[in-house]
Amino acid sequence: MNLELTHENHFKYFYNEVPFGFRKSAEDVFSVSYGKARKHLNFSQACEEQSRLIYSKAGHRVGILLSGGVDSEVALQSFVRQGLPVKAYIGKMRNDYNLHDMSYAVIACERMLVPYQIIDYDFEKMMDEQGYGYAELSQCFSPQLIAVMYLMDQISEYVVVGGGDCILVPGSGNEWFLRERERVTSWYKFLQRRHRESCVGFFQYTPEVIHAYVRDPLVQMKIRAKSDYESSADFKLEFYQQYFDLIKRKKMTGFEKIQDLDYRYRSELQKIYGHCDQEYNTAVTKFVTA
Amino acid sequence: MLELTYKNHFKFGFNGVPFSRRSSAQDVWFAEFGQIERQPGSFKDECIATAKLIAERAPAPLWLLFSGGIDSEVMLHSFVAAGVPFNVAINRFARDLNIHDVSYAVIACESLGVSYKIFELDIEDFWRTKFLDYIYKTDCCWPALTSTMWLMEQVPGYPVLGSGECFLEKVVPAGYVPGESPYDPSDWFLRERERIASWYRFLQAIDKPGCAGFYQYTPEFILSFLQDPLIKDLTSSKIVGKLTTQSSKAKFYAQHFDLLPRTKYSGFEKVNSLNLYYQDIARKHFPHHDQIQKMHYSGLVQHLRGNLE
Repeated sequence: MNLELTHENHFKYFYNEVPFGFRKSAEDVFSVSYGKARKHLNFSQACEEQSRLIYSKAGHRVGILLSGGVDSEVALQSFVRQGLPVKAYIGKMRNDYNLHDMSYAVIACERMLVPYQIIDYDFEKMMDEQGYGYAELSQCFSPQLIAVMYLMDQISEYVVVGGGDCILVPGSGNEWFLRERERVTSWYKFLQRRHRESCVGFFQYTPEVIHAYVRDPLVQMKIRAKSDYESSADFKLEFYQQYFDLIKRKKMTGFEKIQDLDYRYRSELQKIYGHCDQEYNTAVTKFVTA
Repeated sequence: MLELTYKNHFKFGFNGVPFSRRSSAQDVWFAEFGQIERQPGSFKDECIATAKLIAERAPAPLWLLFSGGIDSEVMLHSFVAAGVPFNVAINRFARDLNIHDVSYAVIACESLGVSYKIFELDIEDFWRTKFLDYIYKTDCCWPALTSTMWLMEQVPGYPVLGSGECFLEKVVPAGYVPGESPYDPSDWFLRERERIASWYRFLQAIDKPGCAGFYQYTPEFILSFLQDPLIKDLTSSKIVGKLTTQSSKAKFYAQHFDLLPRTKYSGFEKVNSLNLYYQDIARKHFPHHDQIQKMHYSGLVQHLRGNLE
């Protein structure tokens, strides 16, 4: 593996135990592994430290793809807090389909005095003309993930995407698991096909940031309490707000206004790549005791 | 005669003639307010009461012109709290030239669950081709005001602007250096600028009912601002260093409403050089049209109160 997709490629995804492969059949078994954290940092420290690593890796030319969601804004703040000059890129869909999300991204840049560039695009046209190509490249059936790949192709710098956020899900009993979905590795597959280094999983770039999240006192408290959380995504904003100054917002995907379109393309792509959607869960106790 | 404020309590014009137009450089700009008919509530109470009153008296569906700025955001909150029906118009400049303000406007609307309509304007083309029409209709020497006039015309109903907020300034001696000179108690004055009345003149020129100054719609509303404890402290020179109410505006509003944190923008930052160019042109056409009338703070409070104690 010539590309460094995460720091020292600590994060690995496998098919039948072969790292960084591509699915060849529906019977292939998807799994992942994470590197070991070498130090204990809190989440904010871990984000900042890895920003420095990424910045150095990128040769000081970092473009952050801002969706308007809290994940990408946290990624941006991690760089800005350290005075690392970055440029932000914000995708703007034709017909204002994602105006709401885009607005948060613009405000974030203005508040942090980060230069930004708006990338105008026609989602439907992109999917019709190029979507299937991206899907084939990356074994991806999600139009939302494909849109990110398209936007990444418009950016010449080393791109940082606020992906790889830890999603903890409850299992049986009191056990919780870090869930890794095969579909999200499509971004990594995309980079491999493009022979391009970038950071599409900011929140899994180092083992330290994953460990910092899982061990965080708030996260531990939430998952230990008897609660109705379906996953840790339910308290993500609250978690981030411990460390980052974020405007409160509703959780949006940016595709709310084009659900019909999304469904149409997704249905078609699922016929071809629907089997590329396994999950692999790692018990949280593995991280806490590590 | 259109009702520009409640019972046209706010009068402006020249040489003491209400709602007159300037005809010479020697004309003297004046502005005056009516008097309260009841005791005002708090500033927030009056925001809501004014929204209800406007809704009651408007002859057409309300359209709030939301710039994304803090004044129009407070106005939006007021109408939401008032529970009256309204629409929101957001002016978006081509090529994302005011995307910052539009973004605030969108987020504020989405946070309050309010729907909005975007009105697109190519500001560069507008200034190039229509700017003179608007300034001649209104004797306006300030190009930044003309895009709002355009929007007032587009909305299919009664436009409401989050304008007319009180601007108070402190008298300081000549040679005063902020941060260095002693900050002594002195008089404060409310400033009413001739050029801002261009928006009222525009409504008159196109004979369209509307509210071009939400914050001066009633005497009670103005008095509620002037009597607010923070404003009283400011105008008693208790807040050291403050020379106008401008820099305290966000803090003032935050006492009453939960607003988005923001950097102060005029909305024209990305077209600044063009704005300056057209300012020069406007001033050449209307060189004398930016007088300011100052009203002494205490005198104004007394006047607004009238005989009602």
